[in-house]
Amino acid sequence: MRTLQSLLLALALIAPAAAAEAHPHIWIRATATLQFENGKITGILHEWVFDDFFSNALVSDFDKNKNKQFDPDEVKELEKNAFAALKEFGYFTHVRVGGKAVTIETVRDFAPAIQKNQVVYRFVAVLPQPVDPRTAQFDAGVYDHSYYVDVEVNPQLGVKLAGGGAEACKFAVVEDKEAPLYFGATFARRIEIRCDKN
Amino acid sequence: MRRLLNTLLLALALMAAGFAGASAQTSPFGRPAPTAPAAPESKPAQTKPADQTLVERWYATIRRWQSELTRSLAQEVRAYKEQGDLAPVLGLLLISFLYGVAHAVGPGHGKVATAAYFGANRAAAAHGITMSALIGVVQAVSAIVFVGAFALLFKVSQTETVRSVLYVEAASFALIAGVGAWIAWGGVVGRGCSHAHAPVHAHAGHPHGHAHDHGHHHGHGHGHRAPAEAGLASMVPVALASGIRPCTGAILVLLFTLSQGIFEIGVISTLVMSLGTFLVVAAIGLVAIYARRAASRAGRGGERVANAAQRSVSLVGGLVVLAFGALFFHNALLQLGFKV
Repeated sequence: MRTLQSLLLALALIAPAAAAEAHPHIWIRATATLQFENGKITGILHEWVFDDFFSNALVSDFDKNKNKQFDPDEVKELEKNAFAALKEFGYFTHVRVGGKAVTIETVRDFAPAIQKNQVVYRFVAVLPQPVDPRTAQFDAGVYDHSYYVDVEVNPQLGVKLAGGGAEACKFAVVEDKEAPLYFGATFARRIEIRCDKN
Repeated sequence: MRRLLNTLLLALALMAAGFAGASAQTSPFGRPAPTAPAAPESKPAQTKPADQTLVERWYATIRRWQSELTRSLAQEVRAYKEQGDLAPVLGLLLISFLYGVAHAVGPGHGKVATAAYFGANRAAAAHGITMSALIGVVQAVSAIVFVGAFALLFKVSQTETVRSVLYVEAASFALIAGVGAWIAWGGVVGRGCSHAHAPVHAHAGHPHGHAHDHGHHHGHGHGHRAPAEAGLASMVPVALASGIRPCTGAILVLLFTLSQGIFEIGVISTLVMSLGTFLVVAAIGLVAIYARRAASRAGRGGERVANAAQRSVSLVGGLVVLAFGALFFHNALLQLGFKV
C-alpha cells in the first residue's frame, strides 16, 4: 500500500505540472489606453504587439507585395480576414460597469502595422455609452478566456489614461480570482478606475 | 486490445460528430462567421480549485519561461536566416531541446498516460524506453505531416494553419481520455492482462512463466489471471494517443521556417524537440515501472493485497488520465470557439 501512496503522491506532483503548461498559441503584448471625454470613459485604445511567430504568419498571409508594410488594400484584406472575427470574442475587451458586463460591439480606427518583424494592431474599442467612473464602478480586462491567445498587459506600463478629465483618475491592475485562465495557470487581470469626486 | 481499439474508435466517432459542426466556428484572427452569433458575455473562464500562492508562482514562472523560449526560438531562426552560419543553428538546437523538455511537462504529451499505463501493467525498462521513443517519433511526425499537409500541400494560409492545430489537439485529448477510460476499466474488471481479451479464451501470443496460483478472487470464472504485461501491441495505441498532439512550438517553428524558405531547419528543430520530450516521458515511464516492481515485491506476502493494489492503481491512474483528457478536450473546444 505504501507504493500506492507514493504513486498517488507522484500523480499529485504531476498534476500541477501538467496544468502549469500555459497553452496559448498566440501571444500578445498589449497596451490599453482608456480614453476620457469630459471625465467620462468613452473607449479603450488598444495596441497589440503580436509574438514573432504569429506576426510572421500575418505578414506572410497579408503583406502580399512583401514591402514590409501593410498597404491600404492589404489592410482591407487583413481587417476582413484577421480582425473582423474578433467581434465575436468581444475584441477580448471585458468591460464591467457597476459589476455588470458590457459587450463591445463597435471599433474604430483599425490600423495594423509591421514594426521590426512584429505586427501591431491599433484600434479603439468603443463603449456603447460613455461611463462616468465617479458614479459607476468601472473595470476592464483584456484577455481571451479560452487562452488560445495569451494577452499580456503590463500592470504598470501597459495601462494609460488619456483625455479630458483623466487627470483626476487613477488605475489599479488587479488579478481577477473569479476568472482563472487555463485551469488557473494564470488569472485574468482587470484594470480598475478610481477618480476623485468633485 | 480489441477493447482499447473500440474505445479509441468510439472517441474518434464522438470527435467526428463534434467536428461535423465545427466548420461554422470562428477564430479570433480568422474570417467572421457568415451569420455572426451573439457576442459572448464576459464570464469567468472556468471554475478553479483552491489555489496556493506557491503554485501560482510556479505557474507564472513556467509561463514566462515558455514565452521566453518561444521568443528565443524565433530569434535564432532569424539569426540563422540573416547570418547563415552555424552558431545560431546550435543555439536553435539547444533551445529546441529545452523547449521539448519544457513542453513535455505539459498536458497531452503522454506523461500521465504513460505513468498510469506502466503503473498498471508489468513491463521491462526497455518497454518504457520503447514507448517513450514511440511517443517522441509520433509527435515529431505528426507536426511535420500536419504543417506539410496544410501549409505546403493544401496551401492553407499560415494563420488558418495555426488555428487548425486545435482540431488535432482536441482529437488527441479525446484519445487520451479514451486511454484513461480503458486503463480504469481494467482496474474495475480486474483485467490483469493488458490484452483485454475475452475472459475465457487462452493467452494467445505471449507465454506466462509464472505460477498460476492467484486464486479466483475476481469472479470472472476464468482459470487464472496473468499479471499485467505490457506488449508492443497495446503500447502502440497508447503511444499514438499520447503523441499525436503536435508540439505547439514545433508547429510554430515549422510554419516560421517554411515562410523563410528554410523548412529543413524547422524539421531538425522539431526532431530535437521530440528528443527532449522523449527523455522526460522515458524518465516518468521508468519511475512508474520501478514503482510497480517495488509494489509487487512488497506485495509478495499477500497476493490479495498486491492484486487490490494493482487494481487501485489501474483505477485511480486511469481515472486521472481520463480526467486530464476530458479537461483538456473541453478547453480545446473552448479555444475552438464552441460555447461549451
